[in-house]
Amino acid sequence: MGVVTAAQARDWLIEKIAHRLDVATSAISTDQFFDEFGLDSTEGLLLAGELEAWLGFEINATAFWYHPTIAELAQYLAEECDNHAAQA
Amino acid sequence: MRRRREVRRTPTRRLSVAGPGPGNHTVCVVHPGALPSEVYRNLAAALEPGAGLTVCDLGLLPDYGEAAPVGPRDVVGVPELARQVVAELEPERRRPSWTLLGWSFGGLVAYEIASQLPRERQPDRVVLLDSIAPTIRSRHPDDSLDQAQLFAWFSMYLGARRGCELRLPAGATIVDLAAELARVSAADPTVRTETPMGLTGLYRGYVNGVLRNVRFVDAYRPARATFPLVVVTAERSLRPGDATLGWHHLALAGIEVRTCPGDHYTMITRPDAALMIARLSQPDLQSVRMSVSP
Repeated sequence: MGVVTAAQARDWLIEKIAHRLDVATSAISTDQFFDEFGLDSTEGLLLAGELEAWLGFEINATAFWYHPTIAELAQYLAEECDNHAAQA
Repeated sequence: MRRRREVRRTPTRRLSVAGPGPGNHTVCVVHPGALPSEVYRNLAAALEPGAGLTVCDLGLLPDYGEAAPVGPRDVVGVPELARQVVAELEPERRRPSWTLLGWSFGGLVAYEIASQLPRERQPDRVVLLDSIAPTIRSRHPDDSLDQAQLFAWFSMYLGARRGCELRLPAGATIVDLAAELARVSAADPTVRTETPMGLTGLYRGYVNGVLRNVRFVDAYRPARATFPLVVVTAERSLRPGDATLGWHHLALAGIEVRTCPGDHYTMITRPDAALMIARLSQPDLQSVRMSVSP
């Protein structure tokens, strides 16, 4: 996976969360806390695994704690992508 | 960087409330998360009429649910967790009769709760469900964890989450697990499949949860029990071949050992296991009558 923008990460998260919840993507708010979506910890970890596979690198276990919305996490992931690309 | 919001769900759920009168007792379960607390509804239904069931989910206590390496918090210790659960269970502890259960890591906290309480406030029975005692042989560095054993436990956990049994041969991988889940799903569409990538993330979280528990256990120095213990192992226990799961080292006041149907996870979901555990949770009725006679 190349460099990912915040917008791309946001769209990916919206699609995947909507799929897990079996709702339309339009029902997913990017400013809603993850634990308000009704995803329990198991679903969250499954999502994290798929996210890492998409990004091509491992995400810190505390990322979801410190960036608890789609908008914030997407921004963080874009920054991490930049960091990884710079180190490559 | 914004912190996770501070509004939290309450750790304690009262699945059923004991009826009035001294003959009705409450069963309090110390639950370490991993499965939703609704899994105890079968146990609630199996209790005798008038009994209540309260579940305290450690996963919703920040000092456990967010402890490293699962989350960013430092490990506070089993005695501190026990104190927090004692505060949560204050209404139940005021009843003339109550039983304390702990499943898996919750059993250690339940044991510590009973150890902390003065004799007159201790529960009528302390029942540990497939909990491994924090004895010397349990202490080990993180890197000595048996990966094959961890993966077998994980497969058991995933099966319980998906409502099916997943049995894999020794040496199976995440890809094999995903394939087995897909095979089961093909026969039962209610079982959801997962990608190997998703399962990799879940497995890492599972291992982090185990490591968190290891850190709590390794720092815990329990006193020997001044109260009788009831130890229930699952037919497919986390530690097969150890009838008391190490608790005989601590059971100064006696130990009763039973085995119930299911594996480590399904022992708290299966109706037949719930019936057995409900019977074992009943207090000594003779003791209750003696305590209330004029």
